[in-house]
Order: sequence, then C-alpha cells, then structure tokens
Amino acid sequence: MKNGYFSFILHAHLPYVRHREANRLEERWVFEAMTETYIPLLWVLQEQEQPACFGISFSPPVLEMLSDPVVQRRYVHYLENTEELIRKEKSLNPSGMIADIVRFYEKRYKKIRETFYQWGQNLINGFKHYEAEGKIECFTTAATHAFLPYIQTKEALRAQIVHGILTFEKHFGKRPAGFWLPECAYTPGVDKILFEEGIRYTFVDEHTLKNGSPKPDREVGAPVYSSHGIVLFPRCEAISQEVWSSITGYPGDFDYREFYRDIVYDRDWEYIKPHVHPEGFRTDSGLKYHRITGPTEEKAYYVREWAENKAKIHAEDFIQTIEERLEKKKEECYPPHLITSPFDAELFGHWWFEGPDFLSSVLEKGRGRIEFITPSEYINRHYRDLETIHAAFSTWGRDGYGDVWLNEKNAWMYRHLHKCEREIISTVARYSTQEPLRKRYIQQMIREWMLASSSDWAFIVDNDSATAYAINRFTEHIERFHKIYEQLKSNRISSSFIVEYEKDYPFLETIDTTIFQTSHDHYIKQHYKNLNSDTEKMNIAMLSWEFPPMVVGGLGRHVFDLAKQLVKLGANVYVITSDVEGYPTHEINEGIHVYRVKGLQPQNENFFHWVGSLNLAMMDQVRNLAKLIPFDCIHAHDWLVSVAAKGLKQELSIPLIATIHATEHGRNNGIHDPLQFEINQKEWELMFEADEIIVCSNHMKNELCEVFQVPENKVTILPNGVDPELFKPEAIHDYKYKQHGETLVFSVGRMVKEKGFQTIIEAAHLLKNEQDTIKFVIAGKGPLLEHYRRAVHEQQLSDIVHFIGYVSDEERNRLLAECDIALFPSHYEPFGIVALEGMIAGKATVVSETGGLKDIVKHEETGLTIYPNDPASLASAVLRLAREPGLRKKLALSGKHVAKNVFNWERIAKKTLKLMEQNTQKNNHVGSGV
Amino acid sequence: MINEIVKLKEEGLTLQQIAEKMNTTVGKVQYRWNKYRLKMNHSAKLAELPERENDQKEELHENFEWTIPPEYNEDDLFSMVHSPTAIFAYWSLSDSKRHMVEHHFRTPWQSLPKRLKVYDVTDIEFHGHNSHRSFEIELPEMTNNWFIRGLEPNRSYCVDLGTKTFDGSFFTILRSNTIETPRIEADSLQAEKVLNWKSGNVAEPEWLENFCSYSYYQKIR
Repeated sequence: MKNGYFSFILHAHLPYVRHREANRLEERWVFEAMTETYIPLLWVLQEQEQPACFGISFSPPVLEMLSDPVVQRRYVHYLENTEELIRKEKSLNPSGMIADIVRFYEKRYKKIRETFYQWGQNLINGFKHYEAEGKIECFTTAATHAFLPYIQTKEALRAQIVHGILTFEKHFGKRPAGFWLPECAYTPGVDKILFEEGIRYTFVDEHTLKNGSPKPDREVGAPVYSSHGIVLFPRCEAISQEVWSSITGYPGDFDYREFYRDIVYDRDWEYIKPHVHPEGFRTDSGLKYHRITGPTEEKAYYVREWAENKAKIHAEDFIQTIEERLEKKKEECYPPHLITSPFDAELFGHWWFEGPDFLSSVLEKGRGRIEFITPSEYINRHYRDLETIHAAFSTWGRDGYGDVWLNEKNAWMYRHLHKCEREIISTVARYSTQEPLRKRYIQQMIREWMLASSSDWAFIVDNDSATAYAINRFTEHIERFHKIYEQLKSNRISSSFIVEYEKDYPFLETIDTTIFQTSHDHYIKQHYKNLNSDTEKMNIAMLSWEFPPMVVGGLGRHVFDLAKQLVKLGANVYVITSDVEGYPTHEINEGIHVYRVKGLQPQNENFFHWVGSLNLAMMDQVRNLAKLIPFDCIHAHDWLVSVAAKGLKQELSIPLIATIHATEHGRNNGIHDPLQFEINQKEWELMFEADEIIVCSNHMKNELCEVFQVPENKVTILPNGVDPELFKPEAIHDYKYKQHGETLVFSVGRMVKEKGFQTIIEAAHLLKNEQDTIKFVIAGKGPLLEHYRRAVHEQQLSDIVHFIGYVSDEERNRLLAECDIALFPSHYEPFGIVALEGMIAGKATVVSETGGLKDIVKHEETGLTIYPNDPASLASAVLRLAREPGLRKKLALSGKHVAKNVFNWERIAKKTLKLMEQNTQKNNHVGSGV
Repeated sequence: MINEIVKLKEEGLTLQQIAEKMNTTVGKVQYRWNKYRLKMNHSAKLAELPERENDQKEELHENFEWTIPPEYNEDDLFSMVHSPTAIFAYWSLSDSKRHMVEHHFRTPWQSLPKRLKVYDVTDIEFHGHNSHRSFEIELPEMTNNWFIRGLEPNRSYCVDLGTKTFDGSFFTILRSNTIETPRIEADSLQAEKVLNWKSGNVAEPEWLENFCSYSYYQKIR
C-alpha cells in the first residue's frame, strides 16, 4: 500500500426540469441520468465491500426530482416504453452481434427496473442505505446550483446555502458536513457563510491553492483552511485530465459505446413513432448499438465484452497513475499526500457509458494498493496539520475564472437576478411574513428567483446548446417573480392565484423567508414602529446646503431656527444638508432629523459641479427616506438645492416650497460671467418649479417679480426671525474690547464686497479728526479680509478700525453685549438677519437703506438708516449716536421690542406651516389662528 | 415587424438579442412585444372567462402583464469579477436621476457624453478622489453594460458612470461596488491579515469580500 490517499468525489446535478405538464423534453435529462448514472452507481456500491469508496454530492434539484412521485411515475412510463422497444427489437429476430446487444439491453433494463423498485422508486433511499453502511459520504450544494460568486447580496448567498443544507436534511435526515461549490466557484466570503451554517469542507480547483496567499507548503497535496475555517480540497488537475481529456482521456476509446448513435435515428418512422416524443420528433431511446469505432462516420457494433475489458484496462492504468504520483510524494507526512479527484457524476454512465464499470474496477483493483478516503475521514485524521490561506476568486471552468458564466452571451442575466435579490429583501422588509397568504407569495418569489439563478442557464447559453430552453426558463422565472410581486403590491392577493404558481414548480416545500430579513431593516421597523400615528403630522423634507455647524452665511442659521420652530408646532422635519467632517451623518437635533450627505465627488474643485454632485446625493437620501416617511412637501432653500428639489418634486409628486434668500443677480448687481449665468438659471428653474416661493422682504419680492418675472401671487413675504435666547444680554463686568470712554461700534459679516465694510474704512478718515474716541470692531472672515487689513494699516487707521477675523458665537455675543452701536453698512442685503441680532441685543442699530434692511429698521424709530456706499452718511450717523446716549437708549429699546415681536420665529414658522397646509390640503390644526 | 419578433421570441431570444438581430432599438422591440402580449393575453383571458364580470376581466388585464425589460427604472451600477484582468459592469439610471443630470447641465441626455471611469482603489477607502490611478472609457449611446479588460490581477477596482463637464472633467452620476480581481500567483500579502482574523485580533476580516450589504431602508438611520 502506498503512503498517501486518494479521494474520489462525484457531484450529481441537473437543473430542476420537472414540469407540471408531461412529456417535456428536458424532463428526459432526469430519466437518462437515472438510467445510465444513478442506478449503475448503486450497482457499483452494491458490489463493493470496502468502506469509504467515494464522496458524492446531490444537488437539491436532483434530490427534489428523485423523490417526486410525479417524476417517479413518469419514469416508470419511460422505462416501459424502452422495454417495449426492446421487445420489438427482439421480435425482429436479430442475429449475431445485434442479438447480443439486444440481449444485453434486455437484461440491463430488467436490472434497472429491479433496482428502481428495490429502493421504493426513490433512488435516494439507495444512497442513504450505502451511506449508513459507511461506503460513501453524501453531501450537497447550493439550493439551485447558483454560481455563488455572482450572487449580489449576502442574504441571497445565505439563502442558497441554507436551502441546500435544509433540502439535504429533509432527504437524508441529517445535516451534511460537506458542501459542493457549484462549478468549484469560490470567492472570499462564501466560506464565511458556509462556516456559519456548520459546513466543514468544500472543493476548489487546483489553482485556488497554488495562487493562495500565502502559498501552501504542500501546494495541492493537502487541503487547506480558508480564512474563515472551511477545509478546501483542491481538485488534482493531472488526474482529472486522465479521465476528462478529449485527446488522451479514457471515455474516447474506440471500444466504448458511441453516445450520438441511437437506434431511433436508424429505424423507420412508423416503427419508431410510438417510442419517441408524442409530438412526433425523435428523441434518444437510450438504446445505442454502436461503439465509437474511430474517427469515422461508419460506426461498428458495440461489443460489450470488449468495452468491459477496456474499462478494466483503464482502471488499472488509472490506479498505476495514482500509485506513481503517491510514490513521488511518499516522503510527505503530517498529512500524507492526498489526491482529490472530483467529477460530474453524470459523466459516469450518461456521457461515458462504461464509467460506472470503470469506477467499480478502480475500487476493486485499488484495494490493498491505494487508500481510498472520504473528505470527513481525512479531516478527522489530519485537521491539526492543515495550513490556512486566503483563497481568491476561482472556478473549475474555462481559463479558471468566470468566463463560462459571464460573457457577451449571458452577462445580461445577472441584472435580473440581482434585481430579484433586492426585491426579496425589500418585500421581506415591507410586508409582514406573519400573515400566511402573504408569506406564501414571498416564498414563491424566493422560489422563482432560486430557479432562475441556477448556473445551468448561463452555462447552456455559453455552450450554445438547448439555448432556447435555458433562456425561456430563465425569463419565465424572472417574469413569474415579478407577476407575483406586482400582485402582492397591489394588495389583492388570493390563494387561488398563488396556488397555481406553487403547483407549476413544486420545488422546496419550505422556504425560510427570515434569511432575507436584514438586521438594519429589522432595526428600522422596530425603531419607527409608531410612524403611522405621524401621518397626521406634516412631514417636511427640507433641503439646505448649509446647516449648523456649517454656517457660511445666514442661511444655515435660518434653516435651523425655522426647523426648530416647525418641530415645536408638531411637524416632522427632515433636514438634508451637506456632510461636515467630524459630524454625524445622522442626528436628531432639537427634534429635527438631520441627514448630512456627501456627493460622490466631495472634493470637486468646481463648486458648481460639487453642488450638482451633492444634489444627486440629497435626492438619493430623500428617496430612501420616502420609503418610510410619507413626505407632504419639500422645502428648498436657494439655488444650491434646485436640482434635487425639482427631481424630488417629480419623483414624489408633492408640492415644492422654495425660500429664496438671495439671488446671484442681486449679489453681483447683474449677471456678468458664465458661472453667474448658470446659477441664475438654477434660481430661475427653482422659482419656476416651486408651488410657493417665500422671500424675506419686500425688496426681494420686487426683485423676483422684476428680474425673474415670477407671478406676484406665487410669492409670500415672511421675514426672517431671531432667536432671543441666543442673545441673552449678559451682565458685563469687565470689558475685553471696549476701553473706558470709547464708543464701540460693532459689525459682523463675511468679508465680501456687498457687505460694505470698505465704507467703514472710508468713514474712519472722516472721524479720525473728531474729538470723540470711536472704535470699530469688525468680525468675520472672507476673501477680502487681508485686503481690508492692509488698507487699514496703510491708511494708518489701526487705532480706529479693527478687523478681528473669525469669532466664535460666544465671542460675537460678547461683542454685541460690549458695544454701543451695531452697524451694518451693506450695499446688498436681501434680508439682514445680523441687524436683528443687534436689535435683540439691545443696541442702537445703524443699517444701510437697502434690500431687506430697510424693512427691518425704521429710521429714527427702531434705529438709524444711512445711504449705502456713502462714508459721510455713515460717519454722521455714528457720530450722532456717539454723542447722544439718550437717543441710543431710545432706539435700542424700541428696536428690541420690534425684533422680538415681529421677527419672531414662532410666528414665522406658523405662517410657513400654514402655507404648506394650503398646498397639501393637510390640516393639522397647528396653523389655525395665525 | 411583430411577426418577426414573435418568431424570434419563440426561438428563445431576448428582446435585446431580437433588437440586435433586427437592427433596431430595444425600446421599439419591447413596445411592439408588450402591445402584442397585451392583445394576446387579453383575448385569451376574455375567452377563458366568459361568465365572469367585466371588472374581473379588467383586473386580470391589469395584473398579469409583466415582460422582462432590458433594464429597470432605477439607479444601479454593479460590477462583477470576470477574471484576473477583466471585470463586467452593468447599470441603469432612473428617470428622475437622468432628469436631474439633464437639469444640472441644462443639456438633454442624448447630447451628454457618456463615460465610465475605472479606479484602482486597492487597500484604500475610496471617496471619489484618492484612487491609485484611473482611466476613462467613452461609451456608445444606448449602452448599459461593459466588459472592462486589460486590468491587473490582485487589485481592487471600482467604476463610476458619468459624463464629461464643459471644462472636460469627469462628473460622477453612479458609483459601483468595489471588487477585487483574483491573484494569478501566490504571494504572502494576505498572510498577516489571515493570522489577525484567525487569532481574533480584529473584529472584521481585513480583506475584501465581494458581497453587498443591501437593505431596503439602507439610508435611514
């Protein structure tokens, strides 16, 4: 006996070709496999006395068909028909070689019938029996033999694996230790699920181990553990070649039976007609009288003795080849060298008629010369000695990878399979599987997906044989899947509908739908359980590119304050804004659901396209949220969200409210370059799409109506509010910025031209020579900051004007508290929320008479107004207030009063909500009384 | 036209294959086919159910139609490993997203150049700008899948579907999953990662596993 092992593995698989109607051509695949492979394999096992002959995998379709009473009954008819033909052949009184052949078939079919009945018409019983005797080890494969690496989702992968195991358990009464990977197709991650489902081993191709990381010491002489702990047995290429090769392989021997020469093609039509397909075309009878003979069309008759003898010679040759190989590796121990040789079972008998005889002979001749071993037995002996590697994607197909199952001919299939996978996950997430009828619908969807995902269809299409059947079957299951799904979604489900689908393909009685329940979906369902009560509420999708902590201008602040008040009024607000490094992608802030999203090119240097990218991401976010949240309206802020706003309005068919905070035209006093033009277009489109437009001032309304020709009745003026909470005057004990005797003038804003800080510098020249000590402190950053600082320095105004750059909110509040005058000299200001902040802080406020500012401050009543871009006007207003503390106090008091009551977020939010209600016909009673 | 479609369909061809064979668009073939099926199905169902009420016939008519489409109205870009040097990507774009892209560029879809951009993202957390290298593929019109060849073994790739902006840069519309091409020779690059995982030093394996975590409420937290 040689030191080392030989492990012979068979894989029995056919696609599920059991049809409801009889006489489907493809059903004969099963009958032929039974007659020529499965039954002869049982004979092999019957003859053998030694244990652990080989391992055999049965695919779930094979198990389901062999145990199906309908298939069994039809098989009896199939046998009867062949037996009848044999009788007819015999009655022709053949002589010589033909007589021998007819006698051979007569005897053989008698034995076939006996074996079929011996195991109660269910051949699985036979294999079960021999497994119990320890002669073979049985295991299984994926539910419908799907090409596992081309499954899209983890859930579907698990479903294929689990249902394979469950089907095996149903027929064999125990769980398998092994699992055949369809097409030996391995990819990292498959082993994880196999491991979790209790599988110990599987089979891969030789190069899977040869290309391992790291390379295993034994190369292919021993199995290895995959990174998740599955034992991978490598197929020995050289030994397989002995059998497989079309040039040197055994099955091509001239003495062996010719596969393609069946007597149906040699007999007269009238004679053969009763034995072929009822629709009148010739189908193989299984009675083949010729041998391969040679490379000739003239085939000689089959001589059974010669063929049997050849099988023995080939078996001896095979054993010697194995012995030679083991001899070369005899030094290997811990573990001794192992040769693993897996084959498609149907090769033995069906394709190679004498295959089972060969196998029988190999087992007999090998006794005492080589040690046969099953995978489990090998693992039990040597599990401590195996290495672990990372194995990469690989198959036993052409070129070793995916080309057979993924090429120009069949690649179109995967889109549909993946769609099914995702729809099953969605369906399980959306519908309760508690309800039995609904559950049957979902189970049938899973069944249809499984049947469509069989690797056979892609294989057949690649092979260009029976292509029509494969494409039809694939298409049929995809279409059935969607018909069931449509029906389920329509909520008009009925038992009479689904029962027909179930009867058509009674594959897998029980299907576990929970595998498709993702933990995330489960969590969301639990977490949002009470959502239904929210349908009474107004659900708002609010789009704004900025939101705290990202506050570039006043917009972010505005959206936050408005959203906060809307939540207080009972609305559900979902703010979709841009991602900020270090901030959560989702948070609930003051009751507002905030989702921060990132475009696919978050560092796009082109701002306009960065915005486009962001909009696509916003759309995705809201579209996904809308699966759960019954949004009533979209509230979009400024052009930056125009694309998402329009897209969502169309997608969700709900009203769009747009708040226009500022316009490119206003900011630049016209449109001067291509970018400004594009932005201007986006503004125009947003206004056009919006059902309602909100602006903050009369000034803005006029601008929209004049520049954009927006109809007046579409525009509502709702001023911005201020949150008094944020500007609580703190008692000031020590001054940080203000010196004794000084008048401190505070201003804040982005360092851009339209904010008018240049005017302060110019006015400082006029004030420099006055006796009064006036100091300007200007906070904020922006592109012109350095320019201003330099101007102040060069013009020697450093004592008077201080550009202090960016300040925190606290620092800004402190400055507001310390100062005597708040000054906002903007040239363009759509609203001017900063002015309101000055007023709330209780300071005399000076603003330019422009834009929204002039709606906020009434000259001499709630503050002072100055001419925009007029240093003299600015200087005189500041000087006047510096010299008249009484006036300062009076203006501050009335200013604060107006800011608190008129520019009040609660009031503004109520009006906003009312506007939304008018557009959605949703009355949640909040807005009443406004 | 319809007779030929029916004939080819019976031969088991897909609508896409029929369109190629007849030298026309999938849309046209599908339209004809759907119309034909609707007609056939409707008359068959009506014939079967003479005694039923009209509204039931209507119901059947509504629910029983579904033909496998060339693609679905959804945003999807998925890549699959073909071999050590090739991957396959297929995609579809929802009407809404296509409209948004048209809106952003203020250009009709058919006038926008279609591109694939293939990124080598081996061992990096890709965010759109940090690939080791990338290249673009110009796509013909009416294309929804592509074999990308000439890649390197043992690298991770990810694919964007996009268009070209006015200034010539690439604008991403959809991004695929990341996949890994297999090795063609042994190395020891994964040895440490395997050891880390085996000895329980890491909570998740540090190598790429080519399966997706999809969930229905994916973006909801």
